[in-house]
Amino acid sequence: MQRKAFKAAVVVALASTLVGGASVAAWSEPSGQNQNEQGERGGEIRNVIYLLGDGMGRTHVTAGRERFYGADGRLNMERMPFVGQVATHAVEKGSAKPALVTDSASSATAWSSGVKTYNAALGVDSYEKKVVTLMEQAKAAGFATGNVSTAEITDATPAAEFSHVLLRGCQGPSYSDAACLPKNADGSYEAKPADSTLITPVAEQIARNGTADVVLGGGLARFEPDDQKALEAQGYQVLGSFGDPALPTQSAASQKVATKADLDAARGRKVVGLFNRGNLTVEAAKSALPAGAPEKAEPTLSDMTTKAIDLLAKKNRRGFFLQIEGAQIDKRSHANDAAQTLGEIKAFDDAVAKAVDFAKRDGHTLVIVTADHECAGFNIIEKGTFTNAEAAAPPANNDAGNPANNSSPARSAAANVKDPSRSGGIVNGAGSKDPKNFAPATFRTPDDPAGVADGSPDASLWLTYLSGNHTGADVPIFAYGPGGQRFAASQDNTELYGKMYRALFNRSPQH
Amino acid sequence: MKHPAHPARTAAVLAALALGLLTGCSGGDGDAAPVPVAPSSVALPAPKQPAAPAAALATPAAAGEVRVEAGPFTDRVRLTGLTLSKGSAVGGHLTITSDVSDVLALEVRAAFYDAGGQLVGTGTFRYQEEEASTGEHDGPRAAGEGIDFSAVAEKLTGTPVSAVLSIPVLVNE
Repeated sequence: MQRKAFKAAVVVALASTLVGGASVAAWSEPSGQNQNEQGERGGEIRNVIYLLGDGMGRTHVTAGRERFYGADGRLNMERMPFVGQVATHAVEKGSAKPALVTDSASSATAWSSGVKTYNAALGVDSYEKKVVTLMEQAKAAGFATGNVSTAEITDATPAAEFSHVLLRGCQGPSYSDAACLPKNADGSYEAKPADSTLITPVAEQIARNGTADVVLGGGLARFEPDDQKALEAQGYQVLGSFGDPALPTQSAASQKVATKADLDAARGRKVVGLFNRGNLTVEAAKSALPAGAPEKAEPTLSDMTTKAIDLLAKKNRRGFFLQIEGAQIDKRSHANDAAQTLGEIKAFDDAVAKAVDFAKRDGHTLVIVTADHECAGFNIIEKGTFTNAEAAAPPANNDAGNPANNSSPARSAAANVKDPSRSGGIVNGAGSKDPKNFAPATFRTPDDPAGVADGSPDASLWLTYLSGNHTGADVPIFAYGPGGQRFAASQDNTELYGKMYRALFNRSPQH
Repeated sequence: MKHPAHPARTAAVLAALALGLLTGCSGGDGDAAPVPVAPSSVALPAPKQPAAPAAALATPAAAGEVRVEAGPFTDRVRLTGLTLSKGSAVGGHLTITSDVSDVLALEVRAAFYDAGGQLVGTGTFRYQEEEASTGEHDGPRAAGEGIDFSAVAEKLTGTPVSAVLSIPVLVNE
C-alpha cells in the first residue's frame, strides 16, 4: 500500500511538473480537447516537427508580430507555450576554437548531428569526419522522414540532415574542385578525401541514400535524369521531370518543375517535388506576378508543410521526423529587403500554424520552432529617429572613467544629426532612388490609422539593417507538445540534437 | 478536428502516462530498435563531372562568334559583351540575376573551336565571393553590378576562331 501510494504521489508530482513549469510562456493559449495547454496527450512522443526560419533573429519575430498582428498581437510561433533561446557559434576548421558567427551549414550540422563544425561544413565535424544525422537515425529506426525547404533542397539547411560534404557549395549537378574541396592556407586545394562521399554533390547523395521519404523544395537544376531514375528505383514518386536522358546537359528547356497541383495529387509513400529550378519564389514577388505566371504554380511553405505532414502521418505507424525551413527570411535579409523579409516571416509563421494545428489534433507531436542564426542585424528603431549609419558622426565615447556620468555629451548636437549624403529619406519611400541611402524602411501596422502607408514617415514600424551578413546573436526557440519544456532554456544549438534524439528514441545519444 | 473522448482510450492513456512517468519514459516504443551511431553508407557512384565539350560543332560558327550553351545555370545569369580576344580567351561581363547573396562557387567554361569546327582547347574562369578563411570579399560582386570575366585557353592544339561558353557550377550562399 505504501508503495502504491508512493507511486501515485510520484505520478501526480511529475505530472504537475510537466504541466506547470515556470517556463511556460505567458502568452500560451488553451489547446485541443483531452490535452493540456502544452499540447501533451499522455506524454508519448510519436512525431517531431522541427521548423526553422533561416536567419530569423528575435527582432525578426517581433517585427513580424507588429507588422501583421499589431503590438498586442502574436505570431503563431509566439503562441507556443515553451520559449527559450539558442546560442549558435561555429568553430574554426580543424579545431574547437569558436568562430562566433555561424553560417547555415555549420549551424544545421550542430542540430542535425550534435557537433560543432566549421562554416561551410555539412554532416562532418571540424576535422572533416563524417557524423551521423538525426534524420538518418530516425529513418534507420523506422520513422518516416521528411525534409522541406523554400530554398534549393541541396542548400545548407536541408542538406545537413541528409548529406555529408566538406563544403556546402558542393551541391551539384557536377563536381568541381572549387565547389567541393576546402583550400589550404596557401590557397591550394586540399587533397581529395579517401571517402569520396564527402565530395559527392549533395543532389547525387539525396537521390541515392533514401534518408528522407518526403523531399519538397527547390533546386531542380541540381538534379539530372539519372537522379530521377535512382529515386524511382527506390520507390519514390518524382513530381515533374528531371530532364531528358538523351541530353548531355539539362537546362530550363529540358526540365519540368513540379507544381502545387502535382503536389496535391501526390499519393506516394515516398515523394520528391522540386518546384523551382533554384530557390522558390519569394511570396511578395509571387503575389505581384500576373495570373498565369509559372511561379504562381509553386506551393507555399504552408502548402508543403500540410502535404508533408499528411503523407508522413498516414504512411507510418512508428511516427515521423520532419524538418521544415523558411529559407527566404535569410536570403531577403542578406538583401536588406525589409518588405520581403517581413513577408517571408509571415509565410513561415503560417507554416508553423499548420504544424501546430496537426500537433493539437494528434496530441503526440512535438513541434519546435527556431532559427539557425540571425541575419543582417535587423532592428526596430523608434519612429522618427535615425541610426549611426545616417548620422553626421558617431557617438564620441568620452564618458569612460567618469563615475558620475556627467561629462560632456557623448555626441554633440552638431554631430547628432542626419548626414544628407547617407540619409536620403525613408528607403521604401521618398529615399528609394538614392543608392547611398542608409535610412530605415517603414511599415504600417494594424495599430496605425487607416490611410497610413508603408514607406511614409507616419507608419509606426521603422526597420533597419546593420549589414548584409549574419550576426552572432542568439536566436529564439519555441516549442509545443510533449517534451516541449526541455527547450525552454538557454541552450547551445548542439543541444537541440540531443533533445530531439531523446524525444524520438527515449534515450540519450550514443555518440 | 478533435478526437472525441473515449473512456477506454482515456484509461489507456492515463495508464501509459503513469507508466511513462514512473519509468522516466517520454517516448513510445523507442527502445525497441537499435539506433545507428554511424552515418548511412549507401554506395554512391563517382562524383559527377561536367559534361565534356563537344569534339566538333554541330553547326558552323562565324569567325569570332561566342555561343552560350544552355545548361543548368544559364537561366540565372546575364552575359553581355562576349568577345573572343586574340583567339585564346573569351571575355565578357556576367551578372547573376537570381540571387543576391555571396557567390560560393562559379565556373564559366569556354570550349575553343578552329575554323573547321573542331575542338582545340578549353579554359575555365573560377570565381567566389566568400573566402572560407576570412569571409571577406573586395571588389565588384557577381550578384550586384556584375563582374568582368575571362576564360583563357589552355593547351591549345589549333587556332581558335570561335568559342562556346557553359556554366557548370553556380552556388550562392
